[in-house]
Amino acid sequence: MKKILMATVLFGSIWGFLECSVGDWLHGYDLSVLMAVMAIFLMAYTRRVYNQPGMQAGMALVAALLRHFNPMGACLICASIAIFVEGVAFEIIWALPWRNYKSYAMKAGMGIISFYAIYTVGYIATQILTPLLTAKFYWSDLTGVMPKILSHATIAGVIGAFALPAAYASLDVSIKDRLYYPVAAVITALCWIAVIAGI
Amino acid sequence: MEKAEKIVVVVAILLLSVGVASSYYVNQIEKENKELAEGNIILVGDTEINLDELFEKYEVKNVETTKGNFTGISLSALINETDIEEKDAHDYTVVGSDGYKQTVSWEDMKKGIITEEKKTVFPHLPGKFWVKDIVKIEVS
Repeated sequence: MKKILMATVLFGSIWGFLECSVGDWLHGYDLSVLMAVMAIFLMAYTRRVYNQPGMQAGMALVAALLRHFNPMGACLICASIAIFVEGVAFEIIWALPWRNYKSYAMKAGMGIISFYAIYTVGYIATQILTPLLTAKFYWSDLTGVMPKILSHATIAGVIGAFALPAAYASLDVSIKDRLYYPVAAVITALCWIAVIAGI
Repeated sequence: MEKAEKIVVVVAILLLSVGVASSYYVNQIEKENKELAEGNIILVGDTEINLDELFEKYEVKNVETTKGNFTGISLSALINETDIEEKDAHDYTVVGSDGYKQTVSWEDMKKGIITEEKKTVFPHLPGKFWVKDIVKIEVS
């Protein structure tokens, strides 16, 4: 359990760091979908390696916190909400028994469904929760942005068709316990320092 | 292929189809708004406002945000160019060329600016409220 907790903080911190650096850069080019794809891949990979339900929601919480502490960059509330909701959506989809099927068709199909759905749900959540927390929510704004969300989600879905099978075929990287904790702690600390310092 | 696999493949194809149809729809909206987007014109209610003329007429304002500093014309000045009465009694829906839209109050409009790149910046609101390539502002 200690190892899984460390991994949750480590991968959540890496995710948060990527959101604050690559994510902001991609957002400037209207390519936030690629950051979401990276995050979902990270969740899928860690679920395969650690096989611990709930871990990815924990990672999302860590990443959302880190994103919230970032003094630079785009909308902090929107991004934090989207990140956490993506983690919860991942847990819900991964609760389905699809992993009992080992075929490529199942993995590719679930790659499309999960990447498409997680991106869409995360985006919709920010469109609803952000105005509720900061201003006023209008249904017409959400319906107006839905085509754009679904259009971008297509990119996530197509990438997911390849990314999920890849996450479930990746080679495992093993590290001795003696090194695991110090290395994980250093990487985690570096991620937090970089983000809080606004690098 | 087992039944569960068939269901997953069908759902995946359906989702992608919805996505492709949405992309087509967004593309059509962008085509419809192309004239306004290229002409540097913004439709506010029924009034066409030329952005170049607006920038010549009004003083440029600087706003500080978490994303950096931006300069532009106050959105309230843009609304003042129209014959809208009781401005604080209305909501203002800012619409981008791709159909993305966000509704804000008159108080928000007074704090926000429009940049020369036709982007709204609201320093007090999250980035989700910022709209780029504005083509019109609906008044309700």
